[in-house]
Amino acid sequence: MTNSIEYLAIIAARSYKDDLLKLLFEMKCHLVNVIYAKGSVKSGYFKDMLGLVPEEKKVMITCIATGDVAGKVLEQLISKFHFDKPNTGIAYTIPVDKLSV
Amino acid sequence: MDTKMKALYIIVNVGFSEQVVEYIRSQGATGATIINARGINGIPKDILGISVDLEKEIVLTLIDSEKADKIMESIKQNPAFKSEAHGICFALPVDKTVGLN
Repeated sequence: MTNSIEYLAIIAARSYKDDLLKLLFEMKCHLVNVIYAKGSVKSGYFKDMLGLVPEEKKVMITCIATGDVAGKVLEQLISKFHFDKPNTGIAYTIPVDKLSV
Repeated sequence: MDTKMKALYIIVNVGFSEQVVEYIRSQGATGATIINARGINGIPKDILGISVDLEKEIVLTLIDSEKADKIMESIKQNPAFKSEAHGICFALPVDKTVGLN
């Protein structure tokens, strides 16, 4: 799978944006896109007014990387950003069939 | 980390995303990410030189293959998706994931 091409998507709180971008550029990922999104958290009116809801605003960062680089990025997301703990973020890879540059 | 999961993208007209999130939650999805988008159909609408695009929302969720198939089937059956929401749905195979508990 080392020669495969993967579409990597990371969804996390917006405060992680700069650090995640730094990581992706360090790992030489290509076609990095930043998309602002929101989470689907449900909150009551009073909790919302008091600001007691978990962060709703999210950022989705997508990029293209080779299979081994994508694997390394996922490992770094666990070790550096603690994505294995709840309420931090998620990441996934989708195999890319063909690529034209 | 290798999974049998699918990244389910559901595109609906603006305002219908919460209904979709509620439905996919009832089907076993733990969460979803909502992205604002705009749709372009075959004939571009133009009023006084200003293009009018359709506001859309993309609901993205990571879910087991079987549950994804079930959701896609029920979306196909749901008449609301064909009329007001103008929903379309597609699933992509996910290779690896991080952060799903």
